[in-house]
Amino acid sequence: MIGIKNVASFIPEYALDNLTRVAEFGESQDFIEKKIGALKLPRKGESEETSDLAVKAIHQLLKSSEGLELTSIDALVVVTQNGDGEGLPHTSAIVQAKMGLPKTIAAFDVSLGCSGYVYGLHVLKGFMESAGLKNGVLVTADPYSKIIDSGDKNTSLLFGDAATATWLGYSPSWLIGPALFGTDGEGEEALKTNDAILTMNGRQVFDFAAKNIAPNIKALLTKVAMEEGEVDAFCIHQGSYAIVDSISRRFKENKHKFIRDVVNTGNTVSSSIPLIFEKHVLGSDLKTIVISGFGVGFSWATSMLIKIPHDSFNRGIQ
Amino acid sequence: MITEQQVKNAIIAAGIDADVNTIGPNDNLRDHGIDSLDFFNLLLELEYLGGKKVPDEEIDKMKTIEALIQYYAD
Repeated sequence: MIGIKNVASFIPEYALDNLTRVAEFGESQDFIEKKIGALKLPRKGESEETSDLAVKAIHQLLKSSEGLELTSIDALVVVTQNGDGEGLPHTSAIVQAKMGLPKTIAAFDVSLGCSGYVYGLHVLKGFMESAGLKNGVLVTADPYSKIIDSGDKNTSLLFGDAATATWLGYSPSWLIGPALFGTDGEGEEALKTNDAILTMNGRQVFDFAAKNIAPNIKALLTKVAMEEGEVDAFCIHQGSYAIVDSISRRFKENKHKFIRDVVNTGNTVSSSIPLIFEKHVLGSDLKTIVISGFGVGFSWATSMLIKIPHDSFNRGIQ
Repeated sequence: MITEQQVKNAIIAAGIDADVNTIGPNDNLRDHGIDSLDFFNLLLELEYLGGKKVPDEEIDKMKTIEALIQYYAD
C-alpha cells in the first residue's frame, strides 16, 4: 500500500517582521501575537520562482530520505496556484528540467490553495496505485508574495512563502485516508485575484472555516467510527491563530490536541499542514492524526494519517 | 431577540479575552480590547443564538452591545 514515507521543507531565510509592520495597519503587537500568530513572514527572493522553492524542498527531501534517489522518482505533483511565469507551462515540468529528473516521470500541477495538500496526497496516491508507480513526490509551493498588495491589511500580515516535499511510496510510515472533501463555489468572491492582486473578505473566509471545518472533521471521525479522544493530534491548516482557535473550540475536551504554529512562517497556504506535520509529528510518538485543509474556492478536505508500527511490515502491509 | 447578558455570554463563548462585567451596553467594544478577529467570532456566536447573520454592510454600525441587541430585536 502506498503512503507517506517522509516530509521535508524549504523556508526562505529572509522574512518580514510583523511586529515592526503592525503599527502602520492600526493594530497592536498583541493582535499579531495572539490573533494572527505570525511574527515573521518568510519571503522568497525577488528573482526566485515557484519552481526554485520546489527544487529546494525536493533537495531537502532527498537529503533526509534514505532510499530515495533522484533517478527513482517516477511521479511529481506540484500543488500551486501561483506557478512560474504566467502558469503555462506547468511548474512541475519546469521542476523536472531544473532537477534533472528522469524524462519518464509523470508530472502535473494541482490547482488548489489551502486544501491542496490533503487533495494532493489522495490524488498522487491514487494515481501511483492505478499506474503502478513506485516513488512519488508531492510538492506544495504557492508563494503568495507574488500576489499580495503590501498595503492591504487583510492579506499583508498573514501570508508567508514556503515549500514542502512529501515522499509517497510502498512500505510507508503513514497510511493515508479515509477522507472527506467539500466544495462551495459561492465562496468565489471571498478570496480571489483581481489583476493579479489577492483580495480577501476576511470575515467571509473566517465564517466559512469556523462553520464548516469542525463539522467536517467530526463527520470523518464518524465515518471511521473513531472518537475525538482517540486522535493524537489535529494538524489543520494554519490560516491564523484565530481560525485554529475558533475551530478547536468545537472540540472542548481535545482542544489542546490542535497544533498551532505559524510564528516563523505565517499562513503558507498548501504548505502549512506538511510544515507542522514535519516539525511536530515526524519523529514523535503521535500515531493517529487528522489533517484538514480549507480555503480558496471555497474548498476543504479532511483526512486521517495513521502511523504504521514497524512490525506491521512483517504482517504484510507493504 | 437577544439580551445584554446573552451578548456577554456570547463574548465568553467566543473565547474573547475581555472582562464582560466591565462592558457597559453603550461602550465601544473596541475600547475593551475586542479586535476585528474577536468580532468575527462574536458575530458567529450571535448568529447561532439569534438565527440571522449580520450582513457585511451593517458591521460598522455594530460597535456596542446595545447596537447588537437592537439588530436582533428587528
